[in-house]
Amino acid sequence: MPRLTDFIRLENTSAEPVIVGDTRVTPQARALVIKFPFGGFIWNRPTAVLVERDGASGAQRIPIVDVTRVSQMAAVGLIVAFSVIIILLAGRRARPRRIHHE
Amino acid sequence: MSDWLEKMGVSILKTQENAHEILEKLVETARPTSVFAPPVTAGEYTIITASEVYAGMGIGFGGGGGSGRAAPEKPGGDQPSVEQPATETKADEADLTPGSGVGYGGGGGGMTMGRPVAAITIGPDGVSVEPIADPTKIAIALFTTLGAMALMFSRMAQRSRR
Repeated sequence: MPRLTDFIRLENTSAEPVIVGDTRVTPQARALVIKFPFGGFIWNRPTAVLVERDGASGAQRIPIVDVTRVSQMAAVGLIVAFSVIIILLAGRRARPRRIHHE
Repeated sequence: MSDWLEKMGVSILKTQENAHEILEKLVETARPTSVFAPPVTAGEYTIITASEVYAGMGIGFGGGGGSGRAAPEKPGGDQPSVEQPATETKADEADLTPGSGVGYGGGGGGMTMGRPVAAITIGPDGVSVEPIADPTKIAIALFTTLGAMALMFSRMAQRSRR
Protein backbone atom coordinates (compact mmCIF):
# COMPACT_ATOMS: atom_id res chain seq x y z
CA MET A 1 0.00 0.00 0.00
CA PRO A 2 1.50 3.35 -0.97
CA ARG A 3 2.31 5.70 1.88
CA LEU A 4 1.97 9.47 1.94
CA THR A 5 5.76 9.83 2.09
CA ASP A 6 5.99 8.11 -1.30
CA PHE A 7 4.22 11.13 -2.81
CA ILE A 8 5.15 14.04 -0.55
CA ARG A 9 8.53 14.52 1.08
CA LEU A 10 10.23 17.36 2.91
CA GLU A 11 13.99 17.07 2.56
CA ASN A 12 16.65 19.04 4.43
CA THR A 13 19.88 19.04 2.49
CA SER A 14 23.32 20.56 2.83
CA ALA A 15 25.51 21.69 -0.02
CA GLU A 16 29.24 21.09 -0.27
CA PRO A 17 31.00 23.25 2.34
CA VAL A 18 32.95 26.24 1.09
CA ILE A 19 36.24 26.78 2.92
CA VAL A 20 37.74 30.27 2.83
CA GLY A 21 40.75 30.73 5.10
CA ASP A 22 39.78 29.51 8.55
CA THR A 23 36.06 29.75 7.83
CA ARG A 24 33.96 26.82 6.73
CA VAL A 25 30.55 27.72 5.32
CA THR A 26 27.88 25.05 4.75
CA PRO A 27 24.74 26.25 2.94
CA GLN A 28 21.54 24.43 3.86
CA ALA A 29 18.35 24.03 1.82
CA ARG A 30 14.89 22.55 2.23
CA ALA A 31 13.00 20.90 -0.61
CA LEU A 32 9.35 20.01 -0.84
CA VAL A 33 9.02 17.12 -3.27
CA ILE A 34 5.59 16.10 -4.57
CA LYS A 35 5.88 13.11 -6.87
CA PHE A 36 3.20 11.25 -8.79
CA PRO A 37 3.51 8.48 -11.38
CA PHE A 38 2.81 10.94 -14.19
CA GLY A 39 4.16 14.18 -12.83
CA GLY A 40 5.70 16.03 -9.99
CA PHE A 41 6.51 19.33 -8.35
CA ILE A 42 9.58 20.49 -6.46
CA TRP A 43 10.03 23.63 -4.41
CA ASN A 44 13.59 24.03 -3.25
CA ARG A 45 14.67 27.00 -1.16
CA PRO A 46 17.70 28.02 0.87
CA THR A 47 17.15 28.04 4.63
CA ALA A 48 20.39 28.83 6.41
CA VAL A 49 24.16 29.00 6.38
CA LEU A 50 26.24 27.12 8.93
CA VAL A 51 29.47 28.96 9.76
CA GLU A 52 32.30 27.16 11.50
CA ARG A 53 35.62 28.78 12.41
CA ASP A 54 38.84 27.13 13.36
CA GLY A 55 39.39 27.46 17.07
CA ALA A 56 35.84 28.60 17.80
CA SER A 57 33.58 26.21 19.64
CA GLY A 58 30.30 25.35 17.94
CA ALA A 59 28.83 26.53 14.67
CA GLN A 60 26.93 29.71 14.01
CA ARG A 61 23.68 29.34 12.08
CA ILE A 62 22.68 32.35 9.97
CA PRO A 63 19.12 32.03 8.64
CA ILE A 64 18.36 33.11 5.07
CA VAL A 65 15.25 35.29 5.07
CA ASP A 66 13.30 35.64 1.84
CA VAL A 67 12.36 39.32 1.96
CA THR A 68 10.08 39.09 -1.08
CA ARG A 69 8.12 36.17 0.39
CA VAL A 70 7.80 37.88 3.77
CA SER A 71 6.46 41.04 2.05
CA GLN A 72 3.95 39.01 0.04
CA MET A 73 2.78 37.13 3.16
CA ALA A 74 2.47 40.42 5.04
CA ALA A 75 0.27 41.80 2.24
CA VAL A 76 -1.94 38.69 2.31
CA GLY A 77 -2.13 38.87 6.12
CA LEU A 78 -3.11 42.53 5.90
CA ILE A 79 -5.94 41.74 3.46
CA VAL A 80 -7.24 38.92 5.69
CA ALA A 81 -7.07 41.05 8.86
CA PHE A 82 -8.74 43.96 7.11
CA SER A 83 -11.50 41.71 5.73
CA VAL A 84 -12.22 40.27 9.19
CA ILE A 85 -12.41 43.77 10.71
CA ILE A 86 -14.73 45.00 7.93
CA ILE A 87 -17.02 41.95 8.28
CA LEU A 88 -17.19 42.39 12.07
CA LEU A 89 -17.95 46.11 11.75
CA ALA A 90 -20.62 45.47 9.09
CA GLY A 91 -22.25 42.86 11.35
CA ARG A 92 -22.38 45.30 14.28
CA ARG A 93 -23.97 48.01 12.17
CA ALA A 94 -26.55 45.65 10.67
CA ARG A 95 -27.88 44.33 14.00
CA PRO A 96 -29.52 47.49 15.46
CA ARG A 97 -31.25 48.21 12.13
CA ARG A 98 -32.99 44.83 12.12
CA ILE A 99 -34.26 45.40 15.66
CA HIS A 100 -35.51 48.85 14.67
CA HIS A 101 -37.53 47.44 11.76
CA GLU A 102 -39.19 44.78 13.92
CA MET B 1 -5.96 -6.37 -33.74
CA SER B 2 -4.21 -8.11 -30.85
CA ASP B 3 -0.81 -7.40 -32.43
CA TRP B 4 -1.69 -3.75 -32.67
CA LEU B 5 -2.75 -3.71 -29.05
CA GLU B 6 0.51 -5.36 -28.09
CA LYS B 7 2.47 -2.80 -30.09
CA MET B 8 0.50 -0.02 -28.45
CA GLY B 9 1.14 -1.47 -25.00
CA VAL B 10 4.88 -1.80 -25.64
CA SER B 11 5.03 1.74 -26.99
CA ILE B 12 3.18 3.13 -23.96
CA LEU B 13 5.46 1.22 -21.60
CA LYS B 14 8.53 2.65 -23.36
CA THR B 15 7.10 6.14 -23.14
CA GLN B 16 6.35 5.58 -19.45
CA GLU B 17 9.96 4.54 -18.90
CA ASN B 18 11.10 7.73 -20.61
CA ALA B 19 8.68 9.71 -18.46
CA HIS B 20 10.11 8.06 -15.35
CA GLU B 21 13.62 9.07 -16.43
CA ILE B 22 12.46 12.66 -16.90
CA LEU B 23 10.84 12.55 -13.45
CA GLU B 24 14.10 11.36 -11.93
CA LYS B 25 15.81 14.33 -13.58
CA LEU B 26 13.16 16.55 -12.04
CA VAL B 27 13.98 15.17 -8.60
CA GLU B 28 17.57 16.31 -9.18
CA THR B 29 16.20 19.83 -8.80
CA ALA B 30 15.79 19.02 -5.11
CA ARG B 31 19.57 18.87 -4.72
CA PRO B 32 21.20 21.83 -2.99
CA THR B 33 23.44 22.43 -6.00
CA SER B 34 20.41 23.80 -7.83
CA VAL B 35 19.83 26.33 -5.02
CA PHE B 36 23.38 27.49 -4.33
CA ALA B 37 25.49 28.78 -7.18
CA PRO B 38 29.21 27.94 -7.30
CA PRO B 39 31.24 30.38 -5.19
CA VAL B 40 32.68 33.38 -7.00
CA THR B 41 35.83 34.96 -5.60
CA ALA B 42 36.60 38.63 -6.13
CA GLY B 43 39.60 39.90 -4.20
CA GLU B 44 39.21 39.00 -0.55
CA TYR B 45 35.52 38.25 -0.90
CA THR B 46 33.77 35.05 -1.87
CA ILE B 47 30.11 35.27 -2.89
CA ILE B 48 27.56 32.48 -3.14
CA THR B 49 24.14 33.24 -4.61
CA ALA B 50 21.20 31.42 -3.06
CA SER B 51 18.07 31.04 -5.18
CA GLU B 52 14.64 29.58 -4.74
CA VAL B 53 13.86 26.98 -7.41
CA TYR B 54 10.50 25.63 -8.51
CA ALA B 55 10.09 22.80 -11.00
CA GLY B 56 6.98 20.98 -12.08
CA MET B 57 5.92 18.65 -14.81
CA GLY B 58 3.10 16.40 -15.91
CA ILE B 59 2.74 13.68 -18.50
CA GLY B 60 -0.39 11.98 -19.82
CA PHE B 61 -1.12 9.08 -22.11
CA GLY B 62 -4.21 7.68 -23.67
CA GLY B 63 -5.21 5.10 -26.19
CA GLY B 64 -8.14 3.18 -27.46
CA GLY B 65 -9.42 0.88 -30.12
CA GLY B 66 -12.65 -0.11 -31.74
CA SER B 67 -14.25 -2.05 -34.55
CA GLY B 68 -17.08 -1.30 -36.87
CA ARG B 69 -18.51 -2.40 -40.17
CA ALA B 70 -15.93 -3.68 -42.61
CA ALA B 71 -14.96 -1.34 -45.42
CA PRO B 72 -16.35 -2.24 -48.85
CA GLU B 73 -14.02 -4.35 -50.91
CA LYS B 74 -11.98 -2.61 -53.54
CA PRO B 75 -12.60 -3.44 -57.19
CA GLY B 76 -10.29 -6.23 -58.12
CA GLY B 77 -10.88 -8.30 -54.98
CA ASP B 78 -8.05 -9.22 -52.67
CA GLN B 79 -5.41 -8.79 -55.30
CA PRO B 80 -2.88 -6.17 -54.36
CA SER B 81 -2.69 -3.05 -56.43
CA VAL B 82 0.38 -2.04 -58.38
CA GLU B 83 1.26 0.74 -55.93
CA GLN B 84 1.03 -1.52 -52.89
CA PRO B 85 3.42 -4.47 -52.63
CA ALA B 86 1.90 -7.86 -51.87
CA THR B 87 3.90 -8.44 -48.70
CA GLU B 88 2.70 -5.19 -47.14
CA THR B 89 -0.94 -6.02 -47.81
CA LYS B 90 -0.58 -9.41 -46.16
CA ALA B 91 1.04 -7.88 -43.11
CA ASP B 92 -1.77 -5.37 -42.77
CA GLU B 93 -4.37 -8.08 -43.00
CA ALA B 94 -2.65 -10.08 -40.30
CA ASP B 95 -2.40 -7.16 -37.92
CA LEU B 96 -5.73 -5.49 -38.32
CA THR B 97 -9.10 -6.87 -39.23
CA PRO B 98 -11.16 -4.75 -41.61
CA GLY B 99 -13.27 -2.07 -39.94
CA SER B 100 -11.20 -1.88 -36.79
CA GLY B 101 -8.55 0.46 -35.55
CA VAL B 102 -6.54 1.56 -32.60
CA GLY B 103 -4.93 4.81 -31.67
CA TYR B 104 -2.91 6.24 -28.86
CA GLY B 105 -1.17 9.43 -27.94
CA GLY B 106 0.46 11.34 -25.18
CA GLY B 107 1.55 14.73 -24.11
CA GLY B 108 3.41 16.49 -21.40
CA GLY B 109 4.48 19.82 -20.09
CA GLY B 110 6.73 21.30 -17.50
CA MET B 111 8.22 24.45 -16.10
CA THR B 112 11.19 25.54 -14.06
CA MET B 113 11.49 28.83 -12.29
CA GLY B 114 14.24 30.34 -10.20
CA ARG B 115 14.51 33.52 -8.16
CA PRO B 116 17.53 34.83 -6.25
CA VAL B 117 16.82 35.08 -2.53
CA ALA B 118 20.10 36.05 -0.92
CA ALA B 119 23.81 36.52 -1.46
CA ILE B 120 26.18 34.92 1.03
CA THR B 121 29.35 36.96 1.38
CA ILE B 122 32.45 35.52 2.98
CA GLY B 123 35.08 38.16 3.62
CA PRO B 124 37.65 39.33 6.10
CA ASP B 125 34.85 40.78 8.27
CA GLY B 126 33.15 37.40 8.51
CA VAL B 127 30.13 35.81 6.87
CA SER B 128 27.05 37.88 6.05
CA VAL B 129 23.79 37.07 4.29
CA GLU B 130 22.45 39.92 2.17
CA PRO B 131 18.78 39.49 1.19
CA ILE B 132 17.81 40.11 -2.43
CA ALA B 133 14.36 41.68 -2.74
CA ASP B 134 12.22 41.48 -5.87
CA PRO B 135 10.67 44.99 -6.14
CA THR B 136 8.24 43.94 -8.90
CA LYS B 137 6.71 41.16 -6.82
CA ILE B 138 6.54 43.35 -3.73
CA ALA B 139 4.89 46.16 -5.74
CA ILE B 140 2.33 43.73 -7.22
CA ALA B 141 1.50 42.43 -3.72
CA LEU B 142 1.21 45.99 -2.39
CA PHE B 143 -1.07 47.20 -5.17
CA THR B 144 -3.23 44.07 -4.90
CA THR B 145 -3.60 44.73 -1.17
CA LEU B 146 -4.48 48.37 -1.71
CA GLY B 147 -6.94 47.43 -4.46
CA ALA B 148 -8.66 44.85 -2.26
CA MET B 149 -8.89 47.35 0.59
CA ALA B 150 -10.35 50.05 -1.69
CA LEU B 151 -12.90 47.57 -3.04
CA MET B 152 -13.97 46.59 0.47
CA PHE B 153 -14.25 50.23 1.53
CA SER B 154 -16.43 51.09 -1.48
CA ARG B 155 -18.70 48.06 -0.88
CA MET B 156 -19.07 48.95 2.76
CA ALA B 157 -19.88 52.55 1.86
CA GLN B 158 -22.55 51.35 -0.59
CA ARG B 159 -24.13 49.10 2.04
CA SER B 160 -24.20 51.85 4.67
CA ARG B 161 -25.99 54.17 2.19
CA ARG B 162 -28.75 51.58 1.69
